[in-house]
Amino acid sequence: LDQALSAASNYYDLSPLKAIMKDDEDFLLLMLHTFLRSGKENIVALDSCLLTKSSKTIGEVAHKMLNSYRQLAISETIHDLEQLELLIEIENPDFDVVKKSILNIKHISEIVFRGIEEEIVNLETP
Amino acid sequence: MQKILVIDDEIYICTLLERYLKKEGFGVETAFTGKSGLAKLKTESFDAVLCDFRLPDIDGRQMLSEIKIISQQTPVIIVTGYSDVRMAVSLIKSGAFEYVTKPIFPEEILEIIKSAIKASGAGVVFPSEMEALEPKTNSQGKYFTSGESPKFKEALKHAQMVAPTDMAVLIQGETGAGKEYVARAIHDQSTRKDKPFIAVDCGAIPKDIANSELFGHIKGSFTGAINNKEGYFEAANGGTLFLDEVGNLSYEIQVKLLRALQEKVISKVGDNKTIKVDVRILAATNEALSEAISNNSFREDLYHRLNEFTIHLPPLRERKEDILAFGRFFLNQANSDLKKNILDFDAETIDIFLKYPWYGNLRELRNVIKRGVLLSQSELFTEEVLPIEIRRFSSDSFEQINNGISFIASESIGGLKNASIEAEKEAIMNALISARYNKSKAAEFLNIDRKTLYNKIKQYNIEVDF
Repeated sequence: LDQALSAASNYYDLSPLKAIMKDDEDFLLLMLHTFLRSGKENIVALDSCLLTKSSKTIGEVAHKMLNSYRQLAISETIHDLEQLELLIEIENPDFDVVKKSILNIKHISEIVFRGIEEEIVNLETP
Repeated sequence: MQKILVIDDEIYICTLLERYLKKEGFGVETAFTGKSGLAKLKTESFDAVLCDFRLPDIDGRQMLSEIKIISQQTPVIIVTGYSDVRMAVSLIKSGAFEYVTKPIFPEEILEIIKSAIKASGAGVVFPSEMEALEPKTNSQGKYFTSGESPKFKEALKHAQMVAPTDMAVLIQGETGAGKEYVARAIHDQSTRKDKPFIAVDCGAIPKDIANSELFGHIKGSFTGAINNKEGYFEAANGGTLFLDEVGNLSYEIQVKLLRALQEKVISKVGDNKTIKVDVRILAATNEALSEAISNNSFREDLYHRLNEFTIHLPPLRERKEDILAFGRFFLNQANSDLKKNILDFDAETIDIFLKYPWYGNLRELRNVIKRGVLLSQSELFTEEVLPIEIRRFSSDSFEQINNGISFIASESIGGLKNASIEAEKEAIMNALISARYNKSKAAEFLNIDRKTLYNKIKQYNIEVDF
């Protein structure tokens, strides 16, 4: 994990977001804080849905996550999120496979969250 | 200040749009559920609504219909993932102004909001395909956008043949296939070309006001009728009335429409007097009306009245020659709208365009190109600016993905299909092992291209990262 953390920024790309913000650092900070808050909530939700095997809700959470994860180009998670999104329509999935996808998303997300936290510190430091 | 309501359960999207649109000078309210969004609409007026297609409490179709009941004039823009794009395109026929796919690009949303407010201010209540396909004229006043395929040319030839007559024409085709374009072409080549052409989306008119919208009403005829109102029939007098999605009209309206066609008279709601009208009717449907007739939801006599001549417009996927013709037209249109100068599509993009099935037809093609132009950094339109769902499309995988036969579902599908999937998976595994996980070599062994192999690996969740 430590090795991965040192290269956390390889797992996401803030440039599309920065292009939208047009040098507005406050806006960027607001979006990064928002991403962290909702991202962490969604990971917790995925975990608890996995315990209760609520496949439809997993699909709905994945659907919610996809927009920000795509916008920040967290590409290592996109395929898993897209597959989980299909659970909105699919009944009786193979939960071993679902679990594997959720673990991957969780693992990458943890790295990204730490990277984003560092970005926030850098932005907030005068 | 113009006000926008953003309804989305994802706080990231609400925050992004709220802040961005405020910077652009709009007032913005957000709601995280369908119910709270509807509650806001009941107490405040908004110039446009952005609504997520998948809300936790109310689905997009129902939201659209509830918003239209509360505030019929407010344009609604549906925000959706690409997997729901077919559904989103169909919502345009139910009165949505436009759809936009995730991920969100605020500049794109801003552009759509501006068009929506402009259209609503101009009294365009029922936006339709025409806006997407608005024909432009060159210096000779002729259309310069037209399909290249024999099927589209044949449809236009039929339109040209029937145009000078006063025959009613029924245009059949999928949503977004260009039915209104053909209707407009008929009107513009008819003797009525200098008179009004009124396009009405029957799917977008709430049932309880359809009578008044089509035929007008007199003051005091019902609660809310505070003035006399001219209906679409009167507005189109001397010209052409285009009734899109005619299959959505209620039985009561069908009776009045039949009378208008047979006797050329109408009567306003609340008035016994009849008014003579001279209107040519062009109608369109994306469904087989014969089925509606057999289950008694559409009158057979009206069907025969509307169907004096039929033009069938095939979907875009059945007329591939048109994809590039319209694609380049939309590219120029997007260049002009977004002040860009993208010269053309690169070879890979053209290849993908020709393979992709374009279930949303011309509307989907236009939206994909416009977003691509917005995102393009080079002079060529490359595949990188296409939505990932289109980019990774291959004829082998798309239908299966769409039908949910993903790695997640494969376990629950039994029988022959499952057996063939397992055999294919095994063949891919063997090829990968033989090629020491070199995907190009494995694709060669399997006699398929690399892209197809990638799609299969994803589809079957084959572990290759070790």
